[in-house]
Amino acid sequence: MNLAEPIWITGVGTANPLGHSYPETADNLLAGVSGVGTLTEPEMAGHISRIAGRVAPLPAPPGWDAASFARLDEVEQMFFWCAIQALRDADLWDRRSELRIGLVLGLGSEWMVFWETDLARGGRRIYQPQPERRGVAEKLRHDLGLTGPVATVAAACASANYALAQARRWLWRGWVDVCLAGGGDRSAKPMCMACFANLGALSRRNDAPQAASRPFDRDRDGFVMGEGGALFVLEAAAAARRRRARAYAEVAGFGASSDAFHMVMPNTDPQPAVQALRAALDDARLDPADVDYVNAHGTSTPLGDVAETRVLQIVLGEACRRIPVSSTKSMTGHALSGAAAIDALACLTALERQAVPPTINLDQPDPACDLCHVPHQARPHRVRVALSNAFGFGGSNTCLILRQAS
Amino acid sequence: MPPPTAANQVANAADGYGIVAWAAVSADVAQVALLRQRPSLSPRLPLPANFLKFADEQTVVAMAAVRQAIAAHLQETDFSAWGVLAAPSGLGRLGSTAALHRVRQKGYQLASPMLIPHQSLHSVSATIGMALGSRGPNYGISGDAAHLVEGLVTLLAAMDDHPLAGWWLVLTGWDPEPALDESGQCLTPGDCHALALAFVPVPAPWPGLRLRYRPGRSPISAAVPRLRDLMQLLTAAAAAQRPCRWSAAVNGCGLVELEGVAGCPAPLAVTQAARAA
Repeated sequence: MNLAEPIWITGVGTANPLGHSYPETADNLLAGVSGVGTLTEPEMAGHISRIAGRVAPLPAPPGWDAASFARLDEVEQMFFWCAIQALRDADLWDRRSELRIGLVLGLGSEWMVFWETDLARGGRRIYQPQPERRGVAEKLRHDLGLTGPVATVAAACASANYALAQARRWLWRGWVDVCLAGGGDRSAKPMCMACFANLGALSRRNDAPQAASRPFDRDRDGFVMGEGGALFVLEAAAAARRRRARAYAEVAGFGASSDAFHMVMPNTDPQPAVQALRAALDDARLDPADVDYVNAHGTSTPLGDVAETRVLQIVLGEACRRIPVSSTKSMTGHALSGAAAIDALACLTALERQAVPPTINLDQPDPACDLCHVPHQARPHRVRVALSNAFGFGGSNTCLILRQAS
Repeated sequence: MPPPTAANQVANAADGYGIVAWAAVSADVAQVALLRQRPSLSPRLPLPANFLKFADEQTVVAMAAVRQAIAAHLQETDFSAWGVLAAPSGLGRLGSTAALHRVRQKGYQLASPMLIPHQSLHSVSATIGMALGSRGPNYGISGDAAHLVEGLVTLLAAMDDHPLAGWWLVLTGWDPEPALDESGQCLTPGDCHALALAFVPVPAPWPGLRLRYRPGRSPISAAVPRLRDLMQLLTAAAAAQRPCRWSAAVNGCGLVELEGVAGCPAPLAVTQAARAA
């Protein structure tokens, strides 16, 4: 395939704290709704942080037996839900056996969540050797009858951006006709919550869950755990045009780098992240001034938000004063491996609805985070190009650029 | 497309990537404990003695494999413009078992903040990348029995997306996997394996190992290849200085293949030639 061939998003499936579908999520993003609540299970009593953005219980997808869907674990339910919804949305569900459909999942904590959940239910699978273990990607491939390659990739909170880039490359290489890609996480579990809290990374505003995630605000005190994810149907623009598919956006650019600095801490040197953003702009053949909206990684941690601000100021230069920036994690929480996928939903929302979702709870912007914020309320805005940052533990820096399909 | 950096020019001038150094390391639990105490990858890349204190066993053995590969052929190499991919299988089982036991005994306030950064799927690649000072992308792949094929097909895509001076792909896993007690102690023997492969752009007439993709229909749900078998194949071929070929089906769409002389004749000369190109 010609490398100049645009790759389009033609289907979306999601389950996240703001909804079980893209339209519902988009409505809530623009309405400034918080999906964060209190974790009420007994195991969470005494935890430093007891708040998270959770996915409401998922019903069985249309045509699925409710009992068999209920037997799946939470991670499997989420990805089956997203994959089926995305393929139906793209009008490819009934054609999936005719096409080579690949799958790239951004998912970094699959087995830790699986083992903890199994153990909590009285299982003992963590103790037993399982050399033939296969993860949710293979289960999806098998049960949905997909006939393309599958892979799981993980760069912590940047996982889903890598997944979308890999899917685009598989399409360009001609390995697949269509590729499902995205990411997700269901890590608001007692162990994960305790680990992040003991790291000092989580907000302690247990008495005000919906005000706890406050990226770029002077009073932010850490991120709020989130859950959920999204999968996108990617296909070549020419193929999508031939079948008159709806195009949500073009996956126009991707850049990535590593800090080589620390397993947890954000880098004091902005240059590696700057390099990732510039690589994405070069890949999309865009100048910084062409960007209409930035969906920031913006997790609401004291150090991370300042570090990202510096990166955006360097990359965008003068344009940084007028390009609206928001962090939708203020509403969804931070879904770790699923975060970049949910952030991509916010970019699709901006491109489709021509409005920028807000950063809620941004009452007093931190002077060290001097950006063109969109506090509290969505802002109508002409958006043709949206840039989404995702940075992760292990020093991963990624940037994804989505552009209106034309 | 990416800007024409020096690394890109090297990649574009060559004819794909070949393996210029590799090493296979296997260790039982006791040997992993010893390897954990010597993290440094080379005299040029010193690390604090506690660098691997919280690392998963697979990370420890992966670092040992990278160290051996560097010692063999890459001692003078600057890895700052390299990328690092790692494809483990069953990562974090021992550490998670011990951590879950600890919180059950003593409460969640004693949950280690280092568990997630060092036991998640990205942790092997991130640790190696940090040790090498590599600023290229680093990420983890697979996590299950399909890690060989997923690792190789992901590497092929990554090489396209990021034409760099070089790439590491490190494959890790247990074989046999140990059974554990509730505190995470091994009840049965287990060996942890790592195969570190160093790829750089190479010219076309190059006899060393090369990674290829052969398009075409291929079986679905074929048996997944085992890491230990690939390590044994490469080791035997290198000892005999003879070419070898290994391939595996990619679900429905072709084969990934390693082919060439496993001993990498004159790999340093080739690396330097690629750099000069």
